[in-house]
Amino acid sequence: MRIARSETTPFTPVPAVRGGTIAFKTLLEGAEGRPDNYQLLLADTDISFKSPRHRHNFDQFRLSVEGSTNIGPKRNLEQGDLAYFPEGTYYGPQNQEEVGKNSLCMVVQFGGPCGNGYMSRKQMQDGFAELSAQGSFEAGVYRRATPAEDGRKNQDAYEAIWEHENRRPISYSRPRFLDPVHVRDQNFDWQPVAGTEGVKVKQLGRFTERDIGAQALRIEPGHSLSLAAMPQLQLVFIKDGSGRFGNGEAWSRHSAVELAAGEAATMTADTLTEAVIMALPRF
Amino acid sequence: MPQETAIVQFIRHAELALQTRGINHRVGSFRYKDLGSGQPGKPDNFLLRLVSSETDFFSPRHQHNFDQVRVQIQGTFQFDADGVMTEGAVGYFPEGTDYGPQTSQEDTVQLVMQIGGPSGNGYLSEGERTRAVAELAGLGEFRGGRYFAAGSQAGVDAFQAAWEQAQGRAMVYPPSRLQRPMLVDPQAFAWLPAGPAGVRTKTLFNFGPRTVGVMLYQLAAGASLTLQGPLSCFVEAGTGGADPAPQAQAYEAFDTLHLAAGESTRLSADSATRLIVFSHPVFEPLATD
Repeated sequence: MRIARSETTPFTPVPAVRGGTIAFKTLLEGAEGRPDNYQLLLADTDISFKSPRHRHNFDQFRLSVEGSTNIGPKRNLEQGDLAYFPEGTYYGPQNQEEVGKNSLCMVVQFGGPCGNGYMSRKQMQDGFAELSAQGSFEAGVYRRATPAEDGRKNQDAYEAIWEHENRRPISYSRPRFLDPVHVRDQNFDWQPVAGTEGVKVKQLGRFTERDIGAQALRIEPGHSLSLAAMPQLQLVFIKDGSGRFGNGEAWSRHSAVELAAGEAATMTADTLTEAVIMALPRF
Repeated sequence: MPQETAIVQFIRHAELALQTRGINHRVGSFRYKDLGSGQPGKPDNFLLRLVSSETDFFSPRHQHNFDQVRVQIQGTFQFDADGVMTEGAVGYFPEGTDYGPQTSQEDTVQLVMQIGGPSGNGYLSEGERTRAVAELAGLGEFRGGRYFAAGSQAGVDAFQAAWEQAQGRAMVYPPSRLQRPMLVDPQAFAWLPAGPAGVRTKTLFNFGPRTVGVMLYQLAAGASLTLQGPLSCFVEAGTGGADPAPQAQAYEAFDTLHLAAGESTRLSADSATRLIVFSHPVFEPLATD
């Protein structure tokens, strides 16, 4: 088990790959090069943030923690909403001005079911620095000073960095979903957990052949929950509350926890705790 | 190992007559074969229907108080800003989520599962709906997918009117759990081994025990798969047999099996077989907040 505490982790500047300002607090990262590599972060999205309509070659969960986050024209993730952005599926353009104020989101970016993996933060930073010497990043687009061998001058910023780091053209899997799946957590009913007092869960969705999933959980003070081992990585994000895992590690508001494949854990709440558990793809 | 018991329903497609929806609350031609239903009044009541529509089909933007899954067998259906279902697509239209308006400009065939959603409102049976529509037709007019009571300018969604007539109470739509309907392209999913030799599967989606979920299976000739209820299984292609005796049945394309909770059956493929499996919701007592 690995645990990261929000209160001891600073926000850091993010290379201006997209337009406007956004700050990341990276809480957990996976293993570079693995198909289930991931990055779990808090994103402080400024009103100036913009992003063109685009798609990823990885998967993403977003949970709106404070305020509303724009994800497309007339489409906001309201506080508490969770969205699954599958690889290959277009979304946006995003314009936080539609909301009119900042927001705070938990974001997990992870290698999707096709096995492309996820570019690490170091790879991203290295690629950004190296490409900045040969062009400029403006509002989510990389503009080359001189055209590439294939004649392209402008390219989606993330794509340009990915191709630079991987030394091959980026490929996108055929989209499994037409749109991001936008889940309104507050409209799901809490369900009891058989044989466990003081704990309730909501199944927010399981997707794809790789069994990617998310569920919400609520633990009353003094009550415990056993998290079953799964064949894949699980990530726990504490929306609110405090308590301890069976190994004595404490959690608090906005802590993030990684459970390795095959690893189980017990959670005992000191104060009312709400969390979301995400299962990354099973390879 | 689960005990294999009798199949609750085995629906042989070839023996079904193509019906025309005579008393309709939507707009346009509508022919269908009913592939099985549940128990009226139960929260997991369902209706599985193979629907053929023609170019004049129209349905206004609306929502349901039940869950719906559609599989596009033939043709294309438009759902305005919510997207387009092309051949092979699967759409999940959850209770409480607005969608449409819905149109088609060609002949289409859709497999449509309508089933009680997590709110526990259940699903109005075809008999209940038909009686209600007939009663309302004598008291007002169905027009453009809406119902207008005599002397009233303010129409209501046609299905809502039928539901309220049948239930004798106002319909309260559950809050939307998904912001939009979810349209899925199963061909973009990879087949993965399902356990038994020669069987592969794709899990498309599942939103917990109180909702319908969808899985696809592919059986090579000679392969076997045991299914456990509650579920509905539509044979998209292939031939084979469904055990156990004494109700063993030979299956072919478009036949359907429905298994209740606690029941199971084994399918053995004579030729390469593709299955579309709808897991049914299971209603345990809700937590009290």
